[in-house]
Amino acid sequence: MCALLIKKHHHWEFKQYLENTRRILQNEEEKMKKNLLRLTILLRILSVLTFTFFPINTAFAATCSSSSCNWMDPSGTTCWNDAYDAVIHYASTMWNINKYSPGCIANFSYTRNTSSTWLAAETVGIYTYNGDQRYLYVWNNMWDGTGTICTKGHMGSSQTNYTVHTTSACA
Amino acid sequence: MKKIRKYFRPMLVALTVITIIETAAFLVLNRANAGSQNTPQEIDGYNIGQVSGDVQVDLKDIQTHASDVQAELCIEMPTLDPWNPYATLIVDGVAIPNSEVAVLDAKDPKVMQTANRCYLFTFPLSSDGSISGKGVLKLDKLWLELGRGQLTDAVIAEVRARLSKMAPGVDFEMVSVSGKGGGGVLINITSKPENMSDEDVERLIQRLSIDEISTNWQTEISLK
Repeated sequence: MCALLIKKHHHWEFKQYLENTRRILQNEEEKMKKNLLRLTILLRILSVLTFTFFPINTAFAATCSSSSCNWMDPSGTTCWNDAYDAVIHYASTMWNINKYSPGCIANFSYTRNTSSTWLAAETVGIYTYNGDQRYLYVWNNMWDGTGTICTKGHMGSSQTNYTVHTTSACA
Repeated sequence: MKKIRKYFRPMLVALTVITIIETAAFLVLNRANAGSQNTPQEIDGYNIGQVSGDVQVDLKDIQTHASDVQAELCIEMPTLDPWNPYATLIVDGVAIPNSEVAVLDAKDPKVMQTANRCYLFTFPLSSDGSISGKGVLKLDKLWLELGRGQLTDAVIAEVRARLSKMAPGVDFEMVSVSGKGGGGVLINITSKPENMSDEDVERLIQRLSIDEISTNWQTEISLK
């Protein structure tokens, strides 16, 4: 009888132990769930903030695109950094390049000589930059490169007094 | 009177021969070269070597017009950098440099992502356009503007390093003016050897800011 009582007591103690363990585990699980939820919310907030203030490719994003590049100086922009020479026209010691930026979808005119002189960079029908002193090379503002853009270069003995010209370089 | 009669015929023959030679020379030179001040001069860069095994070139098309000869070439560039090709057309021993070079499909976003690029070269002729026979189309070089044509700090450092080897004692500052509807760059020479003029130094700096690879590719073409 005594042995039976002891056995029952042990059984009850074991059940209590199991119940306690289950409760502890349940509490831990709830805590973990709460923590996981908090962590998820925190990460979500961080990601929203990150993508809002530092969008993907910020470092490589184009300075402008097509018509938003109009009248913009390419110097110091991403547009010049990826620009390549779409067309080159040579005349005497000078050459004019129709430069095209695929990132900005914009063209600009670039005129260079073998030594400093009076130079001009023209985007035909749009705008000509006349160097205000002797330069080794000059460029003008960009223009929307969605369509065909033509450029010319000029060189001479003083500002706007040009004697050497390249023909239209279109791209 | 007798002496005049004696020398008249040989003088006439000599004069005729000289006139024919002069006319032929004028026609050849005038045909190959417009002779104006717009005649392009060769791009001169810093030779960084030669393409091993030479550059692969595919002549796609050649057309002779009244005022020019146009050739379409597809060229395998040594790297993905925006190299520019420079070619000459040799006719009757006279070299006509390209006056225009255009990338075909220039605005295709993928055009610079591959090393194989196609170009249309234009070689100007004189107004008579009476060119025919055979010529030699020669790809002289590939050239690359350092900094994509901008004299950036990195480009200036490279140019200075090259200058120290080629012309010790030359130093310069670069002055850039921008935001005026465009801009320009000029060079202030801060030191140079006595035997060099400012123009010599500028030409040298200009040359050292351009990489150049010489090529040997050439092909005989028929001009109609």
